[in-house]
Amino acid sequence: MLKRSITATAALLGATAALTLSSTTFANDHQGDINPWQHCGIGAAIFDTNTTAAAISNVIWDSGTTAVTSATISPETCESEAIKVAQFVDETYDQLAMEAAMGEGNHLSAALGLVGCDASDTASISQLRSDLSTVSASSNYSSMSHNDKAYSFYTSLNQAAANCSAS
Amino acid sequence: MRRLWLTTLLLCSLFSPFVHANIATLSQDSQWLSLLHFDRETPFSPPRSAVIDSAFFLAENGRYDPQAELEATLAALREPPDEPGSHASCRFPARAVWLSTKTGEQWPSAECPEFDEWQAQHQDSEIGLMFATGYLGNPASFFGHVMLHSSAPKTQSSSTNTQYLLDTSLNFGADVPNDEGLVTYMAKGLFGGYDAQFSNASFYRNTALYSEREMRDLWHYQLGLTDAEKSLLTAHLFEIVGKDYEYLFLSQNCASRIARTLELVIEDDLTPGYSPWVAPENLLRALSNTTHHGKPLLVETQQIPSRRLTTQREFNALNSHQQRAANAVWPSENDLRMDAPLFTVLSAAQRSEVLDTLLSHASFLRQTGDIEKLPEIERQLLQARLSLPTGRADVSNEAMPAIHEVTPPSLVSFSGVHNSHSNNGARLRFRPLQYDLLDTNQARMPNSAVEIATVEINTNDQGVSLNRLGLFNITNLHTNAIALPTLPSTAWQISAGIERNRLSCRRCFDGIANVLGGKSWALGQHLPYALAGAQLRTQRHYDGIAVPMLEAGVVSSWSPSQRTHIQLSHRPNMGYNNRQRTEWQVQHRIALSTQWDMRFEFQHDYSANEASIGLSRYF
Repeated sequence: MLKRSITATAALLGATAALTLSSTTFANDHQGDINPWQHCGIGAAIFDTNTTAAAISNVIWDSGTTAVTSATISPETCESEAIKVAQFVDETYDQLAMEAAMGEGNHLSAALGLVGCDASDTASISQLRSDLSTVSASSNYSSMSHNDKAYSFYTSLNQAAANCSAS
Repeated sequence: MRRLWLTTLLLCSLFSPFVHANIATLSQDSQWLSLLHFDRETPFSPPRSAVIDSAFFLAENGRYDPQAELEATLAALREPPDEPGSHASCRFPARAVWLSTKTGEQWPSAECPEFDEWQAQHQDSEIGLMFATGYLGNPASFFGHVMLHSSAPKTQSSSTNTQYLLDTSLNFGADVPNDEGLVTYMAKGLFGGYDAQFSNASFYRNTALYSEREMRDLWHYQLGLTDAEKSLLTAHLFEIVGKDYEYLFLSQNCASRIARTLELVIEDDLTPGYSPWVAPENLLRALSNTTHHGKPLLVETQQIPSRRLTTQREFNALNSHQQRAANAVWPSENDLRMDAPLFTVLSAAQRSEVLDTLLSHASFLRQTGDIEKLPEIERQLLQARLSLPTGRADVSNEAMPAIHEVTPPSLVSFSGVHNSHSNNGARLRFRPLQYDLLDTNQARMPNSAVEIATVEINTNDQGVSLNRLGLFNITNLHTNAIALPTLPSTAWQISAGIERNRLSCRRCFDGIANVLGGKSWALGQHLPYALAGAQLRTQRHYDGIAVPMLEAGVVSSWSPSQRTHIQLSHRPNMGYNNRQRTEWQVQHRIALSTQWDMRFEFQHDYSANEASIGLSRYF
């Protein structure tokens, strides 16, 4: 009985430790593991593309699709905080790129806040600007797909988040 | 164990103070009816809940019988908990709180993981509304849209919430199939056939749709509710999200449903249940006039400008050198010249401001046209901006009135009329909705008109007669307000109604429908336009069912309170024997207040002249 209690306690402690570790930082949560655009169906027309319905104020939208397309990715993975960040980046990429170039803005603040960085963290903003400058330096940027651009920004945001949590 | 519970419940029931209370009285309490979404006044049908989802009711006939639903809810709340999340106090936490307050009973403790998560997400949140201004891209959006809005509390160190994009909006809307045809959509919207739901989504999705795509300004209305009221309302929102409701575009819509929801904690009737239509504007005006606990219910309004307005403000904030530089850098849609001398001579800070404006304009163009080289232009603008220091100019925003502060939509006017062919008389005009080119204002879509169901009645010594019945008149002059390259936009007007064939005839009526398209130009305070199209009509007094039509005019805004509209129309009756028609009219409006104005009108056609002077009341 005692042995069973010790085992149960150890399991509980282990589980608690695992939970604690898993929630330490956003960056450690998923960095480089998955591409939400490929694996979770993000970018697959969150908004209706039907011109009539899309223009209707009263149209109902869902809260985002999380269609799992890979057997290796669990539904839980595609409902994580990281996916919320990816959805935000996907939905607002154009504003994020513009505000990153300017160095400030509401979308940029929200994105940094989502990954646990201070909205005015200059190191993070510099990181995002530098990465965006590199990606957009090539004329190929003009023909890049929206998903590729968004994933690039998302990756850059992850790196900024890692730096935030480390500092 | 179950027997023990039942015994306990029986004892509780016997000694509960509520056993002596009148269940019938409690079931008619306005808050209970609000919790069930019973409309307070329903002249054409027996009282019933607007919710049609059986999962929302615990009694079999709960949708029609609030007392049965109350009794069933009490019984369910007294039940011992079973599976986590399945107890009545988990499914209906607002009912549980309200009934506990009213009866003094405590319910068995239950695990409610979904509600706990909901509460954690919305703990201490402020409850308000988000209003999206009207949009002429779709008939359902002419009158704007309103949503419930749950926003994170402002921190003590900051007066503004910098993370507001991550707030939550609760949107009430009809569930319309993607492939629904326009006729079916309108018929079902007006006469029934759609279900509707409250859905919740992050606010940034609304800004992406309304601000960035449809170029509609958003207005946040923050309400002054107590903590207990916010808590009850938040719990109630958990109960209703995802439940199916009845939907009618005119009366059972976002405005009326949100009004009924807020009436859970607000004593006043925010919108009348008997009204044949309820527009979002009606609800916002009611909220602005409501006193709650001795204070105004409306704490503050905050505008979230559309991309179009943001770009316009940024461009207007540039000095003349910067504006010329912006035009030199981007002289036409597909032409970007980053080496333009007018631009390169500017300081780094000034160049940054120019580039910020151009980036914002590129974002505007992305949604409003298909410009071949726009992706490359955006790339070059991004690169140029990234090479300059960070920081944005503080653009001092012109204070704009919110929708509840401007002229109301319904109008009744009384005019004295002189007709050169008949005797003097009087005219009564009633326009229930919404605004015309003379009384439109900053809170509405610029340079547009939406007039629905306008009726004009004449009276003189010959008796009373109809002058005009305007079914609708939708005008969008679609003028570009920014001196930056854009694709040509089409001004248009569609209208239909019953009109007199000529000014000299009292009862020569024909049905007409006009469809016109063209262009307008912004020339300072003047807005000239030219439209061409066709008129379809009945042939009681006309020859020919369809004729081409030309229309030209100018709207001149002399001051915020004075505006003139001159209009010339010509219908060459090609192929018909009837004479061609050239008509013109001049209208001048003087706003006396937001509720009153005076209008002067002069009309001319081949048969007579007509002049009128009238006083209008808006409500």
